[in-house]
Amino acid sequence: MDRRLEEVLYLMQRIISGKDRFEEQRLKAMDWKYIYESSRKNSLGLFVFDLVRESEFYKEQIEREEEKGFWEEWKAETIWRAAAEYQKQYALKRVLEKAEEKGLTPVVFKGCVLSALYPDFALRISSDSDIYIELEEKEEMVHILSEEGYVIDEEDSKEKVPVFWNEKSGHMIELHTCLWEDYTGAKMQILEAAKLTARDTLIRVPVAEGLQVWTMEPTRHLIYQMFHIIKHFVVKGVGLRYLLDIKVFVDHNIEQIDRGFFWETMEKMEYAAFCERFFEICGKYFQMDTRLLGARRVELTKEQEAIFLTDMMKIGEVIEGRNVSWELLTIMKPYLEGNVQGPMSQAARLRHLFFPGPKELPDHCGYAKRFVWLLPVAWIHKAILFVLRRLFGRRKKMSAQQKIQATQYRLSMLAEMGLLQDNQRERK
Amino acid sequence: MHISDQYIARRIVGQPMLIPVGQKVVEQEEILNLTEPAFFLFEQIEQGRKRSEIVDAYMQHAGYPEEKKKETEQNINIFLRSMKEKQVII
Repeated sequence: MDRRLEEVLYLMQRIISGKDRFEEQRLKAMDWKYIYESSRKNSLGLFVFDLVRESEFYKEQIEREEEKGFWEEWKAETIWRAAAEYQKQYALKRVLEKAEEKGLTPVVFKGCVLSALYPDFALRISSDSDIYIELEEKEEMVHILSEEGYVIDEEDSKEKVPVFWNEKSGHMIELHTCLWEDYTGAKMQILEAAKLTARDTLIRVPVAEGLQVWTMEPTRHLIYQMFHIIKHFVVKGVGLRYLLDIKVFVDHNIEQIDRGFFWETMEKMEYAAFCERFFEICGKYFQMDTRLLGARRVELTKEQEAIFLTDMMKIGEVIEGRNVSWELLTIMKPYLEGNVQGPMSQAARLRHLFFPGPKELPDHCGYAKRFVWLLPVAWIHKAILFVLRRLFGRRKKMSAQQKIQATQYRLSMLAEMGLLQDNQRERK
Repeated sequence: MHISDQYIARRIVGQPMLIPVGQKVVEQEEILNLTEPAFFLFEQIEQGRKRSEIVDAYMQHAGYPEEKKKETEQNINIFLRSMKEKQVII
């Protein structure tokens, strides 16, 4: 395993298990510029700074003129971003209190429910708050958000997940009326049947700063989180923090998790093999309670662990500095939805890439989602934009060949983590 | 006397801070570093202590002798007045 990956994993273990037993010598040998970049990329930067700041190593570093600036900047960034988490928490509190006063039941998931399980909630940064609301309560909820100064962010909104933004507080809310966004297909039907947000299953939990929220009961919340992780893993890649999120969630809720229901649902969705591997790594590296696995223990080779953890640390990045988000989504989406009946040939993937369906179009071609007859116009629009961005754009875009290369890499990761059935493996 | 609902005093990575959490525009500059004594005073106010109790608690916390009480009381009053002017304390 790459030494720098080992260093990041070591720091992650300390985040969870506490600051004692720090190996000062080990800190001295670390490549801190790299640790800073990779922990930041994986949303772990605040935790890592908090961890290191009490070490003798840190005290020595800030005395050194050539290193002082780097550490002071990291400290300032940590303070500013943690303060922003407090501000978001209070903005969320105002919205939820108002909604509940009006008799609504906003269901909060991931985000502040998970951050409350860490030693310091404000060090777990998030880009937004996720709230699920029943369709019949949506209008009233949107009205409340508007009263609180939130405006819709059309560009980032999806049909079933409008995004609201409060310019004053900087708080962003994703208002879900469907937990699997606009995805459709066999696997979404299984999630639907699991009734993840059924009113009679919701629980009330305390989170940070004296706030109490409605959330999914632990088994359903875990099912959702694994779906969410797999969604990102399939279409793009997931960061290392998800391992810690699952570790703290499982350990906190192990007695309440209905293992039968969880594994039955994961089996139906063909996600069980991925979950076994994921939990095995959480158990091995972060001492997660492996009672969740029961007899489902899998043995991963060192090489398999390294491949998976490296992919996580790079968040799926296969070509350095290249933006892979929706381009991969276009091709990989059928794998997530469960709509791949057999192997998908390279020609079929190219068809998806150049001539995506209406739902697979990027946001700037959103008009063809509403008016399907404009689909050919959107393909031309997309092609022209692609050429212009390649020529003049600041953000590097992938060439078709690079996209195919990235897709093949992603598919190999899916196979490695047990997400491809034998009949879905690559066909030339 | 209490802290306005527009602010909270919290420790972030060991550093005492005054964080605006209200509905007004949030600027980075508004997040203030607090000194340790100021943070202690905010903690006392948050616990609902009266002015005289805060002075006593601070005297004890700082290990001051009784003869420093008047001076401490004056300093705390100046601090509280300035926080009231800024509407951090109501």
